[in-house]
Amino acid sequence: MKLENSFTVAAPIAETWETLLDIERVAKCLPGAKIEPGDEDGVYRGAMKVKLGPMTVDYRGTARLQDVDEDTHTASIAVQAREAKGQGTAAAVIRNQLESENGGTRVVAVTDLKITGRQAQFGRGIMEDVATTMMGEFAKRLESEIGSGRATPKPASDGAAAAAAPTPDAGETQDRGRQEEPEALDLGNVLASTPMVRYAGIAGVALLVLLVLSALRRGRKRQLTFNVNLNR
Amino acid sequence: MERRRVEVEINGETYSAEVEPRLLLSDFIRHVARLTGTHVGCEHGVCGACTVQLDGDPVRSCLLFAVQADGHSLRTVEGMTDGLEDGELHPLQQAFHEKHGLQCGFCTPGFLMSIEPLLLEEREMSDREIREALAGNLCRCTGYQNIVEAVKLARERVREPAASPVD
Amino acid sequence: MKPPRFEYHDPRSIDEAFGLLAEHGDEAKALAGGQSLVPLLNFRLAHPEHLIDLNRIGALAGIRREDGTLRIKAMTRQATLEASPLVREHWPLIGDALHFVAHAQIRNRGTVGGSVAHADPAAELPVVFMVLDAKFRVASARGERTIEPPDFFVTHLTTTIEPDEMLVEIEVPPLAPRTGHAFTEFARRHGDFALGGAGALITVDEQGVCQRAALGLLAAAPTPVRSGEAENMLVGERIDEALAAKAGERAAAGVQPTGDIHGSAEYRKRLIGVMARRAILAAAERATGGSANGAARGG
Repeated sequence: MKLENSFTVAAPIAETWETLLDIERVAKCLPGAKIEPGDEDGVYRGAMKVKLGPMTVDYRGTARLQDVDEDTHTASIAVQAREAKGQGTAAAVIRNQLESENGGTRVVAVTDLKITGRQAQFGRGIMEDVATTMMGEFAKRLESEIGSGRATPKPASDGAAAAAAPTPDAGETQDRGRQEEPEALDLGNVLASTPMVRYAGIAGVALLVLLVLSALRRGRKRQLTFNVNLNR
Repeated sequence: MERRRVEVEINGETYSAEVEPRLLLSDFIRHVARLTGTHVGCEHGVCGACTVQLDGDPVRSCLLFAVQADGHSLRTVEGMTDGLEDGELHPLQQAFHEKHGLQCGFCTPGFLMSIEPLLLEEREMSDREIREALAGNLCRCTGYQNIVEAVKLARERVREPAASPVD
Repeated sequence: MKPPRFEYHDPRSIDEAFGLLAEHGDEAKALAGGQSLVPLLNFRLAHPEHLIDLNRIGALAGIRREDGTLRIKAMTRQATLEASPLVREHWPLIGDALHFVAHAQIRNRGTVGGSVAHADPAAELPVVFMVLDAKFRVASARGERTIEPPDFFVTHLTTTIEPDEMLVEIEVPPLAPRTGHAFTEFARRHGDFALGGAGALITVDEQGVCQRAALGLLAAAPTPVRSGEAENMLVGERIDEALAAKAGERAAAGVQPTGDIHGSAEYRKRLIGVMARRAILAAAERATGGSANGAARGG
């Protein structure tokens, strides 16, 4: 299936492009996500834990950048993911395009998505809604991230109970050694305004996380590890 | 996973075992008590094949853990012929037999367990009401019509035994 | 499939349950009737580390009426609520809605509180309690609080119950005299999840003019919703077929259901309008005809 999502960030295109190249900052805008350094072939491994009500889904996968063009601010990524504890799979090719718009930047993502497994039986509508909501949430956080010029992590999970959790402070961006089990992204909080059909269909979510994370990232090697500490 | 001791009374007999808490009651009935009349279809509460009676009420045994039935009393399809002569059937089973309310028989125990309480319903039940009452059990063979007929016949017999005698 | 491993707890008292919830919070899931949770476990769509079985706590179940208010304890079985003469007589909307809740075998085990806390937007009880202006009492080791439906339902399967809390009771206020009720939903087979549905309460004065209207929709949004706009259209009017139809359309216009293989978005939207129209009309007829509180027309 094909999904199209777009969002606008109130920052100029160059700044948006650069920020999106900083995987660590980007990952902080996506609670529940964890990404490892890319290997020599520019393949990034990622993990995403998503929660909605009583359900949780653990995805593991790889994302590989392709067709990156800084001049036109476009990039495609190919994502392959599978459920950590199941037989479900998700595969996608996402084409991302940045455009200047009224001093800000419009990000348009067109996704070609294929899902197998339990999630697949739940139909198209749910993916669209989840994708749209995810992008909306990501855009908000990204905007705040760009605006603040430093890490401004939001409470990771728990929906309405998030207030109880202490938010991490800036010092944690220095902490690169620890590899934490990712806090789940609680869709309950995020989906508050989006219709969603019967349960699952969360496959698309993890997909999009990986895609947005890896999108626009050039294939250059990084010397530093960036296992993000998503402690809240 | 810590095991727990459970004791469940099924059709008047007590079955006791140490089980994992996540063992479904349907699996306890079939594998521990070895009462395989109760069938497993969908394992999510939709098909009704696993229906048994817990403390007199029809419930989905696939949606209960065996540990939850500890100290409770169950009735399964095997219990329907308790106290009857060899070869004699419960009136509901007899009606199913006469009206061809089963073919492969996979759904049948679930239907029987679900319907049995209806035999005691005093009020008149229309066809529609009977069908609604049966909606919680799926059958792939019969097309349901003969099941509805079997229910009607059984109800007649239970309420007025003389009116429609068994051949 | 079979459920994944979990630590099983079966507290015998409410306090014990609170203690367990406080200790395990986010890693725990309360097991009420299990008719929604166990399928998720069997599919392995849910993997709680701890399962807190509430079924051994007798004090958590029961129905009573106090000063006109109906108090339903959370672990009350749906079948018990359905059979209650008290509820049939004074809050017949509840019984009408329960008729559509799955099947008898599910209602024998499923609980009232479990259905509300599970918060499936296609479930009947959440919408009914919303229409009835019920209140939800939620408690924990830290104390208790009362939440009104708009502040309770967040989105699919999500409520504002905190990880260490549980729903303990639902309070339903008495109905005004000359109030008619109706509940209707559509599913391809009786007992399936509804593709769309509506519950309505209409209160009229002695001249048959609508004084108060409550219209709730199910399977229309990520939560059960009240259609304030449709309700406003009805107040101050005598409700006839034409007005009911207009109000139904307004209700449908206010929601954006998502389509899927069971029904497209357009179909669902239209269906909801029809369900709303029928519910409004039936409730209005009950309010203006029949006995003092319009509820005597029966099932």
